[in-house]
Amino acid sequence: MENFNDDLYPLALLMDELKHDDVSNRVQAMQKVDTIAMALGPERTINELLPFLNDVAQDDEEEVFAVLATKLGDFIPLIGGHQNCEPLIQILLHLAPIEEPIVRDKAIASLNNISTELTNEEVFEIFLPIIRDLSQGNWFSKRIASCGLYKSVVVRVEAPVRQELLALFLKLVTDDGPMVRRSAATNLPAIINKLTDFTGIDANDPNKVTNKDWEIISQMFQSLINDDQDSVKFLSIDVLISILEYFQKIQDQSHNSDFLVNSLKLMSDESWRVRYTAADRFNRIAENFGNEEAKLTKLIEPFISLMKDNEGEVRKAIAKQLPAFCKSLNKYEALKPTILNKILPVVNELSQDPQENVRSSLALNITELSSILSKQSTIDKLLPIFLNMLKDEFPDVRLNIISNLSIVNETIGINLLTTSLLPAITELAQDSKWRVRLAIIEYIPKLADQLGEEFFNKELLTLCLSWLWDSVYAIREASVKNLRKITEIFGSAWADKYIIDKLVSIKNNTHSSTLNNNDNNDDTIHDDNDNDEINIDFASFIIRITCVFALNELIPVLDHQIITEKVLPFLNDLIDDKVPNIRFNLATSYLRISETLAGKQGDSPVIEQNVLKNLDILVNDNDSDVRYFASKSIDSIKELLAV
Amino acid sequence: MDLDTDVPMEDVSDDHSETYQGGAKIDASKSKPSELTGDSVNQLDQWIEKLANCEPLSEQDVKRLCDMAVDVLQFEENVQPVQVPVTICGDVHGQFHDLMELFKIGGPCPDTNYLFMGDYVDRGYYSVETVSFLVCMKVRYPNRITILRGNHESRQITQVYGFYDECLRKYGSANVWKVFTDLFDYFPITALVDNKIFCLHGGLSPMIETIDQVRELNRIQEVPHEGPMCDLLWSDPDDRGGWGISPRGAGFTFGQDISEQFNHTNDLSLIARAHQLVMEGYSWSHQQSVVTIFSAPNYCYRCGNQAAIMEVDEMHNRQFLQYDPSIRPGEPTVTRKTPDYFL
Amino acid sequence: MLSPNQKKDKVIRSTDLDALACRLSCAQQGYFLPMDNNISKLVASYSKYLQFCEGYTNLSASRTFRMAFNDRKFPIINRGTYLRTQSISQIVEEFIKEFGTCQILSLGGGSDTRCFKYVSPNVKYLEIDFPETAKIKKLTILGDNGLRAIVKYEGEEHIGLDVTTRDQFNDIEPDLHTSNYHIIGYDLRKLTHSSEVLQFVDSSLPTLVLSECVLCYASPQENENIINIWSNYFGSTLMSLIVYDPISLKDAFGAQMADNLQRRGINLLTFNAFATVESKLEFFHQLGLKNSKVTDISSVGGYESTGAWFDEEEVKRISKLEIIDEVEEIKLLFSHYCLLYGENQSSRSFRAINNWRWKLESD
Repeated sequence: MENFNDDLYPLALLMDELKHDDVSNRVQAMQKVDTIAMALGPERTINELLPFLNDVAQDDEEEVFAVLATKLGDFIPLIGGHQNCEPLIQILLHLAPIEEPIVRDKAIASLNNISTELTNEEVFEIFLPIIRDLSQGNWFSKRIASCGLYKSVVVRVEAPVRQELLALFLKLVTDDGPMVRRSAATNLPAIINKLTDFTGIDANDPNKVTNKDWEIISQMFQSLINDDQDSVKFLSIDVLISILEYFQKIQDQSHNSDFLVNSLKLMSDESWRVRYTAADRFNRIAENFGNEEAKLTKLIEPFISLMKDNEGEVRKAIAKQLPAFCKSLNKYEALKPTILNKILPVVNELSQDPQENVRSSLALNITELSSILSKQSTIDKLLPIFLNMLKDEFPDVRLNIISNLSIVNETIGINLLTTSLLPAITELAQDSKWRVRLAIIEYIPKLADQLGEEFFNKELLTLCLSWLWDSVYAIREASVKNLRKITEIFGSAWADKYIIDKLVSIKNNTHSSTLNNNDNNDDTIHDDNDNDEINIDFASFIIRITCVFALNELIPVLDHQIITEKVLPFLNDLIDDKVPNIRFNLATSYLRISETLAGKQGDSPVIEQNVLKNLDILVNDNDSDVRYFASKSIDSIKELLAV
Repeated sequence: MDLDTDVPMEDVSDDHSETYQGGAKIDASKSKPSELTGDSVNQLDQWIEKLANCEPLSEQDVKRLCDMAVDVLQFEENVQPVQVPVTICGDVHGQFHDLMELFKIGGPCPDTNYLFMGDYVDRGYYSVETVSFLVCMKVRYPNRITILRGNHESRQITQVYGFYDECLRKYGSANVWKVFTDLFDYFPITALVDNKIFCLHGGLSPMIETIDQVRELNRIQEVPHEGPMCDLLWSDPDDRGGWGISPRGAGFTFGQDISEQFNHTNDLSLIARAHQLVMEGYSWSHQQSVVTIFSAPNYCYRCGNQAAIMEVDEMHNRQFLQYDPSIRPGEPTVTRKTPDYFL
Repeated sequence: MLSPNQKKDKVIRSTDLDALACRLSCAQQGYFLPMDNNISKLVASYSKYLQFCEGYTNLSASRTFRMAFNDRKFPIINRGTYLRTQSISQIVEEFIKEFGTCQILSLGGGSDTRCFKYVSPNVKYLEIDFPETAKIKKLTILGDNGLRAIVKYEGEEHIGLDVTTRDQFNDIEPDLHTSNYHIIGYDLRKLTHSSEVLQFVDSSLPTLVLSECVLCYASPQENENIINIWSNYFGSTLMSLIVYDPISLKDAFGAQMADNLQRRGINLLTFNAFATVESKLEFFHQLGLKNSKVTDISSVGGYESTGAWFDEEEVKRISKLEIIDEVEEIKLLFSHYCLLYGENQSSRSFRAINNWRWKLESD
């Protein structure tokens, strides 16, 4: 303890914090490890901090390891440069074989990061032995870890060493442990991509990629697509894509027929995971054959089979590929009819898929097809599908269609959709989960913009007003904001006619004699609020305050005349409302009005005579909150007028 | 520098017994709280903003807040009158994020008036933030929010059920716990909504027949182990008639006959109370003479229940709003200790 | 570095610390009469040796230890621990009373101290648990003269007193065998008809097998296997089996419980497979066990209409120990734990088992 002095303090503190019982505290402490290293300086970091971290790396929770692994990746400057990297690498070598993917991936990323700081000699002297050791480790988790390290060295060594490395990697690809093969397969595309990038830098490079390399890679690929484990085999698809990209780059199409055969084989694999991955990457594969009509044609049947796959996940994945693949087909006149005659009928089937997540995925993508098809085809073939999906029982499907309607609108105009659109919206608007209701409200301004005023007035206005009376405050709040956004689209005159008049007329709806106990069982909105404004009872506090909230939100986007002639009188009538909450919100309304009117000629009399006069009443209210908000508004208004 | 959080309980018990035996003093020279100054308002608004992000106040600020709160709460009545409209809520128990969800459902305070029926602390992981927030709101908007005392607003119970430990953990000492539990003595114990709905944490007492008898109690003390004040905070309605022994070891169980008689005697339409976990968030008993409201969804992060609040409007219409635990995307789950099970 | 399976097992082993912490808290609150002083000896032993167990270091062991013991246990946990411990002990006592000379076989009992109470010249007591857990118990016994005497240990004085490194800990044999007491380090999931552990078990003695929150971590298949092996091993000798396990009831509470435990890395493999007392009973029935009965801890504690397993005086004493403000929660939590009894196809039967109130019985 005699060494304990100020310099050691940060380290002592870290050690202390890393003893904390709460993982989140230890995670936080570990987040500061680089700052501490900075405070200690390189020498003490190497001599004191790293040995301590070396211990920590052997026993803590994964969350802490993950932070440690990440931080160490940027430690080279903190230990005085790459020449001191070895103890650092040692710690990461504890972490890299941990099976928790978060830790392993971070440790490997950091090792790769450190490798970029090393000289080629150091890579050769330090890094290669590590890779060799790990790759031949008796412990499968070491071999797993090794797979992630090849990519950072494979183009930094001479061709013979590179080929030796590839041969070593081939062993990993054919390892006995499926987890090792999986890791190898996962990391192989990155290695191939490195070779692709490296190729063409210098054609005369003695170390350029040759057939020797490709022979080994080809062996790897062959092994992977024939692997007896699905969980390995499916990874060969990304390998294939990387290989295809390499040959694209060197403009060598001589192998394309082979690759097509391999692609078709994977797309029709008996394992659903393989088919799923093929479906998920379908266009990345198809892109490579995009210039060869005949080969593209051969992909149509597999595409359709994947849409009809008996595994939902596969159908869900291929649904996402629909627009891009149709675009590829659309380039060839001869293939255009295929979209209509062969693909769309299956799309129709998919829109009625028994699995909701499949339909939901299709709903997200299907609208894009309208930009590929002609207007008439869209109307004849696509529109019926949209309309059906708008009636889907699952809210996400409807929401996804509605949120992507703008594309359809560009082709055919939205009016054709509306008969189904409306019931869909109405139903979402009444979903028993308030967050679903909230989601649909948020789409309304977008729809209003597309649909235009006339349609909106006829079909959506009532609904938008009904949300004001939802039982959940968050919905009422969203609906108030929604009205403002729509007013910003359609203008003040529109708001005057369709919102303000309605709001101010609610005042006449009172039937305060009702004393019915409404014991609603869930948080659904009142079932009587659709068109029946009679039931919106102005005697109810929530109705009155929502009117005030709505007007407060709308005031800034209304014409002055509407404010002075309609809003102000309505609000003034509430000045002796018996509920103080109404009165102090009125104080806010008056401020909003003044802010909106201030600076306009001829309007200050309104402020002075009307607004301030009423605020003077409120500032003498018997409720302290009313007095507070009134006096606050008066102060702000006076400031406004003074400017 | 290993912080030992396991401070023996006795130290503090001795400490507080001394303080509250003397009995809390009400400033006799005043009959109502002093109006907030502009500085206090700003200070409170700052605290509210901080607390709304679930960040606890400093120890010093808690002390200042509680001093201000005593000034407000000491003038409230044992049966605090409350106007309609008001939204009535049950147990919160330190589930801060669910309290924020409650305000999303019912509307923010002060725009919506609230009546909370106790049990702000214990069990959840954010008792400090929860009670600080509600007390802040109470001081800032005394007419908009009423906070009653629950049986957990007590020195003894908080030492068993978590608030004491949480204060030690978050502040390193029991000072904040002491300041809050001293404040709890001032909380009103019941409320009367528009003379019709009698609101309290637990239930009725065999020693209380009229509301006036509640008014006569000396409430400013630690929750006693027995007697009328204890019962009001501890009792439960029961399917059996008459009075019964409570399985909790404090308070009583009372039957429909008792509730109906009490409502009749005092010209009430309803007794609203909290205190008991109910899976749907609210539950009627005694043919709608009594309602239980519970506002902590997935209570103790363990029970899987819904929560509810009850809105009462000016016409005395009632509406129940149910809700589920708040959704907190991205919250790291590791920071949360798993509730205990038998393993 | 631990493999995923090793990690899962580490978590399962760590549940023994939870159980021990619960028993300690329960004892400190005065639930057990007379006070069980052996609990703190096991706690001391864990605090010394946990750091040498697989997957721990000094740092994480002391942390794990504090996590388990520092937080105050809620009254609901103390009471549930009491009910679980006492209800099973009652059965053990009656079994010993009825059969005189008999054998108790505790599966995965870990740091349970019940053995020290009931082992005697007439009662042979065996415990089987993971080797590390067995080692810690063995070291507790060897380090304490009182416990050495209870289990009649006659080995050399110095053994086990000087374990201060991981290597020394690893070198310790987990098993301890005396004339009447056996602790055996063995992974029960690997049990077969020819397992060596069987040689220590006397198949001629009427035997009560105890499984407290042990079989729930094994798969239904492993459950079946373990139970079958024991009931066959005893042949015509009576084997009674008491199982205490969590059940999901497939309700919101159960779903939340599975979720919470999953977050700790604990997988309850029978939780949903046998979700109710009915399906638990049916499982025993299918395994050919007879005289099966089941109840839940809420009923045992008297929180349901059936009445408690304890006399009025004891109930009164218990309810005075701590204020309980968790009545609804108690019912919820305790109804998710069941106590299940069954016996093999022997000509004898444990008659006194009918003295307790059961919720369901099969014929």
